[in-house]
Amino acid sequence: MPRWAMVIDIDKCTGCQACVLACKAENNIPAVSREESARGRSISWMRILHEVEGEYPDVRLRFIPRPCMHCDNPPCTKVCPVMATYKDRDGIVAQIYPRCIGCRFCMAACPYTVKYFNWHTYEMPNLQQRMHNPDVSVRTKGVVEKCTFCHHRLQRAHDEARRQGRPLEAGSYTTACSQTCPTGAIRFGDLDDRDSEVARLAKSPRAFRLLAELGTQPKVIYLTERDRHAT
Amino acid sequence: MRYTRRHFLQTLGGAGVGLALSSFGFAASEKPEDLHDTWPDRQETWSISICQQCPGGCGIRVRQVGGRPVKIEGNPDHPVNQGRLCPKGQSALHALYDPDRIRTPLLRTGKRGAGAWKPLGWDEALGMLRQRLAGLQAQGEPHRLAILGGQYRGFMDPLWRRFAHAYGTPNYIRLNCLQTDQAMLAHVLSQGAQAPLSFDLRHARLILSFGCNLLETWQSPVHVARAYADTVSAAGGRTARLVQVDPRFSPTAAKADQWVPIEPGRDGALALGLAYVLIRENLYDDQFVRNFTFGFHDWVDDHGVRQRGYRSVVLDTYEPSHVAEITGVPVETIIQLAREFGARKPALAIGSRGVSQYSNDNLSRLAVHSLNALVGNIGQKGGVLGQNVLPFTPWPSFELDGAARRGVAMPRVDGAGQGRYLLSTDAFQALPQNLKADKPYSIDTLLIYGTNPLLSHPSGAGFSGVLDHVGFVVSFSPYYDETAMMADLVLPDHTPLERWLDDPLTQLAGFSAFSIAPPVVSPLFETRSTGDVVLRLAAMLGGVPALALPWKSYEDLLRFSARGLFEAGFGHVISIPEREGFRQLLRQRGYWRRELATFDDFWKALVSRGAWWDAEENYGALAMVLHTPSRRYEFYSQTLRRQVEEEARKLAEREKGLDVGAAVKRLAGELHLGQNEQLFYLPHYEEPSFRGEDRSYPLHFGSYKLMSRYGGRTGNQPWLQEHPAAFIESDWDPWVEINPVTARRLNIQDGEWVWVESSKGRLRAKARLYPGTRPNMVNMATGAGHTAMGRWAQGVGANPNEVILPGSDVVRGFGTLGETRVRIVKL
Repeated sequence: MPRWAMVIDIDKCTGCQACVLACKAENNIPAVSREESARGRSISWMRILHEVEGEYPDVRLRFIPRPCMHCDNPPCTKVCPVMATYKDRDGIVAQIYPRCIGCRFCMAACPYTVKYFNWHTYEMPNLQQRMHNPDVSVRTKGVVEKCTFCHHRLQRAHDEARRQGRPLEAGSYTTACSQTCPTGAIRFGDLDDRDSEVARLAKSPRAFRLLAELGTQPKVIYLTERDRHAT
Repeated sequence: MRYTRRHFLQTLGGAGVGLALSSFGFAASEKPEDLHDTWPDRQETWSISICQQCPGGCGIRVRQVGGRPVKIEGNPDHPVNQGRLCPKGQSALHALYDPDRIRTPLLRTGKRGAGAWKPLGWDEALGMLRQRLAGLQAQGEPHRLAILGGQYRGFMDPLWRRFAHAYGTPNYIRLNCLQTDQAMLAHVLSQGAQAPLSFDLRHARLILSFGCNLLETWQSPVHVARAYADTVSAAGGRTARLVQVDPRFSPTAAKADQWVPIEPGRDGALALGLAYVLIRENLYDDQFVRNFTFGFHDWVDDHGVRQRGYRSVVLDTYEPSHVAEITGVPVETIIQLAREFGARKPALAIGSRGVSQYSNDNLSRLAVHSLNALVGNIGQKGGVLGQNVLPFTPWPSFELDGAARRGVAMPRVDGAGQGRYLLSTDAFQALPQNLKADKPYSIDTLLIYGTNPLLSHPSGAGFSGVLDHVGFVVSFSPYYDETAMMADLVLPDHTPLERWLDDPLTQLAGFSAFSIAPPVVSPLFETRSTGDVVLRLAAMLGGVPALALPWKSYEDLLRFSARGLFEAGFGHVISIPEREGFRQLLRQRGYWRRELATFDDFWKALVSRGAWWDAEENYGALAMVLHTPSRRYEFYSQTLRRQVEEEARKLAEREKGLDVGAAVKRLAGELHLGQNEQLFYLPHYEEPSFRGEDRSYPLHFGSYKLMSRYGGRTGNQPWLQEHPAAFIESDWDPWVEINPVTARRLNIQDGEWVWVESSKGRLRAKARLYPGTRPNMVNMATGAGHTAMGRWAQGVGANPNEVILPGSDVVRGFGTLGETRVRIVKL
C-alpha cells in the first residue's frame, strides 16, 4: 500500500496561491462572505503562510504552503469523541462529516491549524452551484473540514485499478494543488517507493517537517530555501 | 430542495449521486433557470480552451460532468503552461457562473447610469444599432463612429480594425496598457521591431529585471514561473541569477537572487550607470558593438553636423557616484551589478512594466535595452529574440468607397500618431477632454468592447462625465460593469467558455503559436459572441463593410485564417510530449513531415488539441531583429529623429513664425526627450515629473498588479476576492502598504483604517505595515473598488485611480501611474 506524501519546496514557492484556488475549485469550498472573512472564518484547506523578516532594505519574505500534514501520529484523531476524524487505510487523515458534532476538539488539538469550522451553511447562488465537483460532498453548518489529499481522486484511482484488475500504482493520482503548481514546488507521491521523487526529495539535506519535535510524524515534508546570496 | 441527511450519505457512498447543497428557498435575483438541480448525467468529458483571465495565453482543459463545466485544469500539451495554471485560471468558472451576468440585450430607459433597462430581442437591438450606423453613413460622417477596444489578442483586433476601416472611421482606439501584441516602442526605435520581440528567460544566466513583476503579472506568469523553476537545480542551486530592481519588495523581488531597491522612476539612470562601468572597464562586447550597432561613437551626420555618441554621453554623465545620488543605489552595488552583467553570459536586461509608470518611460526602456546591445545579447541564445510571424491566410482585399475614404482620412479623435502622441498607436488618455471639447469633431456613436475604463483608468470619472455628450454609447460587456452601466445599449458578449476563442502568441521566446478553442458549453443566456455580432452588423450594413467582412460567423473567419497554418510547410498541431520529442529530433536534422493530409483533418485536430505551434529558436538570426535604417542596433535612433523632424516640419508649416528647429525642441519637450538637442535621440536620463508638492504630500504612491487580479475584470470572482495576496495579511478589504518606520512616525498601527490623499482625491484603506515598502513611499494593488459589477465586486476594496493623477504617457497614451504623491491621514 503506497504511503502518500507531499514534498513542498519552499525555495520554489512564489506565493502565487494557485494551489489555494485549485483546492477550492476541486473540493467545493465556498467563499464565505466579506463579513465572515473579516471575522477570520474563511475556509482554505491549503493556505500560504508567509514570514517577513528584517527592515527595509534588508527584507526577507518566505512562503510556506500549508495543507493538512496527514500525520502518521495525528493528534486530532485522538481527541475526537465521535470518531469523525480518523486515519484511513491509505494513511490519510480523513473526516466523516455526518458524524462530526462540531465540538472542535480536533481544531484545538491540531498544531498546524489545518482544520476549519463551518460557522454557517455557506450558501452559493444556485447558478454557481453548477460548478460543484460531484465527487466531493459539501459540508454544512457545525461541521469541521480540512484537506483530504484529494481523497476522492485516490478513490477513483482505486476503482480504476480494481476495474483493470491490477494493484494501485504509485503515481496513479495527484492532488489538485500539486497538479496546478506553476513552479512545481508541490510534489506528491509514495514515500515508501524508494524510486519515487518524493522519497528521493524527502532524503534531501534540505528536508524538514513542521513542528517535527511534537512527534506527529507529518507526511508533508518541506525543503528549506537555499542561501540567496551565494552565487 | 432541501439538503437532507440521506443526500449526505448518498454523496459519501462513493458511487452515490452527489447532490450539492442548495439554499433554503431562493433569493429574489435568481431566475428559475438558475435553479440548481442534479447533474443531467454523470458522464465525464474534457474539452480544451484558452484561459482568458489575463493575457498569459495558457491552454486549459475543462472538466465537464453531464455537459456542465465543473473544473478547469491546465492543458498539459500546451507550450505556454504545460498543464499548470495560476490562481486566476483556477477561478475562471466564476466568470461563467456569475449570477449577476447580463442575460439579454438591454436598452437604457432611465437616467444614464441609473440602471433602469428594458430587455430587447437581438433582432431589435441589432436593428437599432444598424439604423444608427447607416444614418451616419448616409450623412457622410462615418468618422463620427468611435470604437474603444481593450486588452485582448487575436482576431478580434483585426476584425474591429477592418470593420472600422471599411465603415469609414479612423477611430478604433485601444486602451491597451500591457500591449503584449505590439512591439515595445524602445524596440521599434532601437531595432526597428515590427512585432513583439521576446526575452529568452530560460537560457539567460543573468536576468536583470527593472521593475517587471516577472513571477506575478508580467506577460505570461505561468510561463515565466516554469522558466524560473527550470533554473533551480535539484540540489537547490541556481543555474541562472535573477536580479530585481524595484522600489518595492515584491514577491518577485523576494524570489530573486538579489533585490536592488531604487528610488521610483530612476531605472534609466541606473541602467546608464551600469553602462558606464561596462564601457570604462571594457566589459562590453566590442565586436558586437563595432559590427552591429550605430551611434556608439561620436559621428558626423549627412548635414556635416557632429553628433555625440552613446559612449561619450555615458562616460561624461553617468559616473557611478552621480548615479548613486540619483537612484539611491550604492556605488558598490552599481559596480558589482555591471561587472556581473559583463561577465555572466548571456545576461539579459528587461525593462517594461516597472519603468512604464513614469514620464521618462521610453528613455528608461531605451537605456535598459541598450545594456543588451552593449553585451551583444541580441538575437542570441538567452537574449532578445525575434519571433516567427504566424502564417495566416491573408484576408481578401477590398476598396473603400468615397465616403469611407474621406472618413478614414480624418484625424483621430484621440490624437494618436501626431503631436504629443506622435509615437503612440492609441491615446485613450486624451480621449475624455477631446470628446468633451468636440475636438477635432464630435462623436455620435461610441462602441465599447473588452474594456472598463471607468474602473481601470485614472480618468474614468472624466470619461464617465462625457458619455452624455456622446450621442449613443454601446457596450458589449457580459457583466454590469461600471462602463456598461453608463451605456445606452448593451449587446452582451458570451463569457469565454461559451464562445470561439483564438490567441496568436508571438511574444514568448522559443516558439510562435496559435491557440484556438471552440465553445465549451452552449450559452447559458441570451448573449452573443461579439465577433459574430460585428460580422452580422457588417452584413446588415451592406456595401463595403459587407464586402470586407464576408464571413458568416467568427468560426468561419478563424477557419479561413487558419488555412495558412496548414499550408505553411512548417509547424505542427500540438501533441503529447512523446510525439513532440520525436518531432524535435526530426527538426534538428532538418526534416519536417506533414502530420495531417487534408485541411479538414488539420482543423479537427487543431480545435480538439488546442494549438498550432512552431518551435523555432531564432538564435543568431540578427537580420530578424535589426530593421533600422542603418540595419544595425541604433544607440542613436534615426527612426526617432526622422519621425520627430517630419512632425516638426508639419508643425512649422501649420504655425507661422515657428521654424523647424524650434518645432523640434517643442516636440521633444512634449515627448519627454529633454532640453538638450544633442541627447534627444540617445538613451539618457530625464527626471520623472512627480505631481503634488513634497511638503503637503510627502509620500510617493505606487500601484501594482496582483497575481490574483487582472485589472478589475476578475472582481466578480469571490475566491479571488477572498485571497488577493499571500505576501501580506489580506482579505476582501483594501490595504495600503506602509513602511513600519513611516507608520510609527505617523502613529499608525497595523490594520488601522486610514485615508490616502492626493491633490486629486482620497480613498480609505487598511494600513498594512510592510517592511518591503520604501520609507518615502506607499503602495497599493490595483483592480478593486468596483461601484458595480455584481454582488462580489460592488463596494469591495478601493480603487487607486481615485488618487492617481496620470502624467502624460507618450508611449502608450494610457497615462503614467507612478508619479502621484500622497499623504496618509488617520481616520
